[in-house]
Amino acid sequence: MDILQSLMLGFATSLTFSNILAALVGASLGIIVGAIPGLGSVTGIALLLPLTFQMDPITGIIMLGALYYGCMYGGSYSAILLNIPGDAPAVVTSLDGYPLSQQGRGGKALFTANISSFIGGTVGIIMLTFMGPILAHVGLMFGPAEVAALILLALCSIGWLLGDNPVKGLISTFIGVMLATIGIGTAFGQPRFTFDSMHLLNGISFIPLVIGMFGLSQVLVMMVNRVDPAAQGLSSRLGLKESLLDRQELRSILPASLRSGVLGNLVGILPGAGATTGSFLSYVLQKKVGRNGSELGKGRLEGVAASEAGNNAAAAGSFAPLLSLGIPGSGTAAVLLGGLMMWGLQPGPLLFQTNPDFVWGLISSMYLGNVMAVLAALAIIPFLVKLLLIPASIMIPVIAVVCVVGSYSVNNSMFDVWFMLGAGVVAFFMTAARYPIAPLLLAFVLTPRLETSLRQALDISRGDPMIFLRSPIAATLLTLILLFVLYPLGKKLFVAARQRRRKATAE
Amino acid sequence: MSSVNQASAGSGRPWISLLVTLGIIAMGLAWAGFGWLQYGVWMHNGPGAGFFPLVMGLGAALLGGYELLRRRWATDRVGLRNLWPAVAMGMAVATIPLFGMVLAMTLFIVLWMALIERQPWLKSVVIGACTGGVIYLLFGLWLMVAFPPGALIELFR
Repeated sequence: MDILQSLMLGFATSLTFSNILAALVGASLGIIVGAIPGLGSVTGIALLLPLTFQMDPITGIIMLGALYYGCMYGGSYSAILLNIPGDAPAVVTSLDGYPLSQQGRGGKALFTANISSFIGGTVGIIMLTFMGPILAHVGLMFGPAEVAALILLALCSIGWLLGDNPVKGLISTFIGVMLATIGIGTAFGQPRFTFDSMHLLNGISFIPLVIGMFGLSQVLVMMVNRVDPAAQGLSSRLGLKESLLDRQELRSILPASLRSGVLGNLVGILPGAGATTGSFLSYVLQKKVGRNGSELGKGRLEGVAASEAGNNAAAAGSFAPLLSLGIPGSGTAAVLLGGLMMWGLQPGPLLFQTNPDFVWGLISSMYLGNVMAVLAALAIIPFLVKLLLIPASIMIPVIAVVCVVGSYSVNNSMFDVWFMLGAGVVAFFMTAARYPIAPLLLAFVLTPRLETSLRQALDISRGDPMIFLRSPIAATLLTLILLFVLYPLGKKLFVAARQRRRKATAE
Repeated sequence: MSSVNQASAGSGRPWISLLVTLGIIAMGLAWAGFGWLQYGVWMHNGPGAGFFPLVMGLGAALLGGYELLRRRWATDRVGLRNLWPAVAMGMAVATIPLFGMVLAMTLFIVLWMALIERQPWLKSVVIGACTGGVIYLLFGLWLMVAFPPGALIELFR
């Protein structure tokens, strides 16, 4: 009851005309920033932060919160429409989103992304509202050993679950890990595979890699395999009416969104696990337990729903350790922490007592930001789907330019542009040889955290690997990994044995 | 990605698959070698900087070898024409120090559309100029990305 009263107090603070306007502006800007390849929520918030210092802190944080949500929505657009993920979690969205666009169902994919983002975000915010402090403490139970086991679980499931050929999926995963070892790792402080190039000291930037491997390689594919929107009758299938989901489709994405909302939120509270892990594990869960799980990756709305709901719920989850403990759960939360401190607020256990107006204003503003973001996002779908009607003769050079500008703008580096070009050509040949690219990118994102956590865990135990079995959480996760690895093998052996038995009976 | 699979699955050029797999094996062996010999696999009670490169490199090389032994060389139908955009982009990127980012990219769109796609010059110029304008306004002015100005533009300043 206390919480509900506090939340109402928060709504009383946040629901003013200026705050609603701030939320709408923040959400719209966020959608634009999120949709631009190369820019993410961290950049968006960092750019907007100086402007909000002139505002009342509550209005400022409402605008930033809405921008954060808007970015989460926008990140999926370029993934669905152009196969260029705007940020790391959108890599998972593109697995089903882009095939849907190719089937002329891009509007439905965008609608699904928005609706499931809203559902996932709402589930995440509700969990944050009622269980914020508890969730933050659950997050603290995840030390280096547990985080290492969790990321290892995600890594092990990548190769097996993506692509038609698990061996090639695993090879791609290994390549992703190898690429992630380039540069001075935080775990060791030792340069690796830099070949005396100062550009490689910080490692490979993710955005040029993803833009090259998804965006540019797509341009190379489009060069020969052109889709003529007019000949395919796409214009008649991309109206607003055709983009709306029917009752059956809504019924199919609802369980996926709710499940992923809960899982994504729980992953989001873990320090460093982030929205990518949340979105990917939600996708894995959907593939394992959802209806039509085997069809995921071929253009299913449930795949888009699982990824987007998990991603947005993780964004909400990352606020739990920030507000309750003063520990940012993600890069964006770290920038927000800086903003809060500049306003003279000290996030941590005492914030709920010392500044209840602010905390509950912020939490209520997340509901507001989520509603504004979904309204703004739904309003622009009719315009966005028209992108699919642009002929390849215009799309090829324009996407190519977006790839160049997007990869340059991350670090203002021409090296990144050349790297993107090389990555695109390599990915094109890998795809032609049927090596999936998504496992490579996901492994690349997850590896630095795995390496650091593994090193920290063994430092704590002074080299004793039993630390992974002493912790019940880590032991459970490791058991799951074993099951993941052994299940396909066991299934194969079981099927072979059954066939042998049948043959013997027939004879 | 999947468009390749859908649009042109079936026969292809087996040498692409062979070359990619051989490249993966070579990369895996190089990573494993550096990890083992140069970076240290196990140190101070835990994995050293060479642990992941060694394990993942060996894994990639072994699985790549397995793929070689399976001799399944199915590839998608691709040709040299697929690489045209990359070559043209490379040439456009090489001119950035001269023309600057915005102008070089605008010229790339105009020339690509007019010469490769055989679109009318006016249409090509309009689309190139509009894209260049949006890039300048969005990235240059709003997001304040420091684009390389280009030596030629600097001359006229």
